[in-house]
Amino acid sequence: MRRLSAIRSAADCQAFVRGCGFALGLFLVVMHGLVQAEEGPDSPPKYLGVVTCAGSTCHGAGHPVGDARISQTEFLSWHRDDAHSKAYRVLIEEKGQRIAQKLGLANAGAAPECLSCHTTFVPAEVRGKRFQLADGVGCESCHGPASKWLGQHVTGAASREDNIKAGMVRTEEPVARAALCLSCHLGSQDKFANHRLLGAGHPRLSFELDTYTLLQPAHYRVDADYRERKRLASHVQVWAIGQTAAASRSFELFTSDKWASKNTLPEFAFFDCHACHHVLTEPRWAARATSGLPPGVPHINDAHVLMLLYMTKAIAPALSEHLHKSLLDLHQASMQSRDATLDAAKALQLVLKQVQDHVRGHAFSDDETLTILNSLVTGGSTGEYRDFAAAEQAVMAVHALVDTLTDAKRWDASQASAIAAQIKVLYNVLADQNRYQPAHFSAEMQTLAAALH
Amino acid sequence: MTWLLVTGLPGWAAENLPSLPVDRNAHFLGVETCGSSQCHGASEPWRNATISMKERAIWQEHDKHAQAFVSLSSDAGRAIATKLGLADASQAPQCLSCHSTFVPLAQRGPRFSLNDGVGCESCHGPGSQFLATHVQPTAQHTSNIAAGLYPTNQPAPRAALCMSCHQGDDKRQLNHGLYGAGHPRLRFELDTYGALQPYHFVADADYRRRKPLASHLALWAAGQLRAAEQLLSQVKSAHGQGLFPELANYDCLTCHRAIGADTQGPGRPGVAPGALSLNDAPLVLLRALAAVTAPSEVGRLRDDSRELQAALADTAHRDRVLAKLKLRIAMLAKTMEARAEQPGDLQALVMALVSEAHVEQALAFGAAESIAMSAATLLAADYEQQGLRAAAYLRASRALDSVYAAVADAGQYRAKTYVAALDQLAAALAK
Repeated sequence: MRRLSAIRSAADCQAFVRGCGFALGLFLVVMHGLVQAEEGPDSPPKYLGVVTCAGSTCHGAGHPVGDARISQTEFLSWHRDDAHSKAYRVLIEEKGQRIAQKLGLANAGAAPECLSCHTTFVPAEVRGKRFQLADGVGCESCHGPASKWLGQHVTGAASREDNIKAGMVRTEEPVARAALCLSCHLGSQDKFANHRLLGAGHPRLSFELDTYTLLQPAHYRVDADYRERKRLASHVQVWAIGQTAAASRSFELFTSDKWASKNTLPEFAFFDCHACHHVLTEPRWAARATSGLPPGVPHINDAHVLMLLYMTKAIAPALSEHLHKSLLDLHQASMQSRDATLDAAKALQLVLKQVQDHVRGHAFSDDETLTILNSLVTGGSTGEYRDFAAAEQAVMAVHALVDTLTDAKRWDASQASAIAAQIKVLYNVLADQNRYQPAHFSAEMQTLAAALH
Repeated sequence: MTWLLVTGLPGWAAENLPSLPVDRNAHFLGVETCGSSQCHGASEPWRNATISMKERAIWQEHDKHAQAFVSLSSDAGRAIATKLGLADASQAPQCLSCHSTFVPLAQRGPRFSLNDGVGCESCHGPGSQFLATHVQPTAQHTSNIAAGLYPTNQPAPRAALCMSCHQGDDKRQLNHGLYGAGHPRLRFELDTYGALQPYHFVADADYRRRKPLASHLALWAAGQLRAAEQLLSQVKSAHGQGLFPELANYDCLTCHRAIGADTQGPGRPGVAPGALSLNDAPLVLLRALAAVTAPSEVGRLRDDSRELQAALADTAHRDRVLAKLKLRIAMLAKTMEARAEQPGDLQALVMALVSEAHVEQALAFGAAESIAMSAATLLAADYEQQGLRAAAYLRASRALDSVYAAVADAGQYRAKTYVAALDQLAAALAK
């Protein structure tokens, strides 16, 4: 796991259209006609395919175009460095075939269950002529079906808001981005990597909005011009909104008719993987103040709630206590019955909604960010992130917060590098989920605590 | 040797079994009462004695049952108790029920002590019921039994007795909470564990004159039949805490394995990807018994046990399959009761075990471990009964070493390696 620096070198760019010559003008006319050929005013928006966006004069340049306000290499970045572009291919490669076979599927590359997250999986009638599933998770998976806005988008005449009105997704806005990414990276009403899929060999899902935005890697550069066009959220805001969205979504799915188990066994995908998946000879259990559960009981994965618990401890103590109680209630209810558990999960959802309301639009001063960081590190130092999933979330959280504070020049160079080095150590502790030692993790968290002071 | 050995004794069916010693409402007199130097605690046997009279010494020095109570206060015992939130395991009924002769206070005689662990009367019955007749020179085994001595020599009662703790029964259950706190995993095979105990009797001519001696095959079969019966009843009645069923009934390694490991091969038949897999080892092993004693049952048992795996999440369906299986097991027990043992039985049984291991595809660890113990004890018996020649037994023993090695460490268990070792064993026997 490596977090990349989000901030690329700033280059003030001129307006897109101003740099375009006659050739582009001609292209735009053609493009406009092409869009209109596929699109009537009342027809549903269509997905035009990666190739439509990836023209060499649009988002498919081989190297950044000198005075354009965007790099124009977005396609290249996606195609070369972004796993989303390989999402379809992995289905038909060896590992995908193996998983499909276990699931009794003839071909994962033709199974809606797989395609729904591994491609821009939309109904056949809204696929344009140049659209192909084999492009994997392409431009329009995230940015929206282009048919209604492509025309105005390429002329450069439309503002960001005009495009958004026409259906472009506001990906820079954390709440919208969280909903978008989590639909696959955690699940939605339509798609979910349940334990059957995991048991067949699908990798475990793990997601933190700010980290994964950078890891993707981001195919935009944040410069003055970008900031002028779009409102940019800080790392801490993205992280906090991502956590509230993930926590809410996970319990939404947990309590949904669709994904909650309908028989006597629960849906295991909602539980902490490593509570069960550890070597028999290394019992894992230890008392945890945030669960209150005895040994031998699988517990619901509460990693996101734990992050929010330590965040609210720092900025909204009363809410934090409320959250803590609801979390304990949930774990206790899981020892009683399915109905009690669903009730407790719904009660927890209400508290999570309050946390969400608190966080959305919250500015997070640097002092607050530091207090949250210290709170998270205290949780780690006292062994509350025993679960691998929680430890993983904690390291990504710490990294996001440290980035925010580093941007704000909170530390001098030597302290900043000491902190960065310790974050690297923490990532290394998590390098192999099967060898994770909770005691080792809390010891390294204590070292981080020292580096922060 | 014939099956006559067990005729005339209480049947194999669960409802005909005598009640277990510790479940009886009678006085327990304590190890001191049985183990005096005049009786079972002599340093040298008396002249003309029909028994060694050193039973207590063997138990005290070699038998872990004598340490059952003390182990509750060991480091491991205290660590487990702490995790369970118990102040002292040696005071906790949950622990004492299997780690001592745990009977109500009012039934404990003046010389009785819980500290004796699993003592004489845990297995042989409350002394107050039979001591008076037992010490008479004219005492007969049958009259002792009639007075209340537990028939440990009979396969089905012995199975019910040992497995009440070694697998758990209606009154004594080892749940997953205890495992999670660090209690060792239970494993058991009646004939193997009898020998390991070790036995504190010598089955000489005089012993056989007094009471029937069960064959190894009879003991093995009684153990598997009882294990299967108890498994079915546990699946039906044992509830876990809250959202989960009682996880102690499931195959440990289905969950307790590294993520990403061993996803190459196919899963067990009937078990969907990501689903829990019942530890149905006794059902796998009984299919081998059926292959030898009632071949037409093998296919049905296979179908039913696969259906059970698939039905676990649906209570009504599950219970229908459990009822079907219960009948099949009862029928198998009846067949065993009526059948005379044949000279080739033991080797045929081992070959059938190997073949069932293949049918399972991804043989679960619990079944692998049971098959290893079974093959070892059955082949030793065949050698002892002069079925297997010395050279063949030697070859088989070497192969058995590899079979055992493949289940020595649960964390390292790989079904493929294990089944390959079993194939070597089959090859050694086929020569």
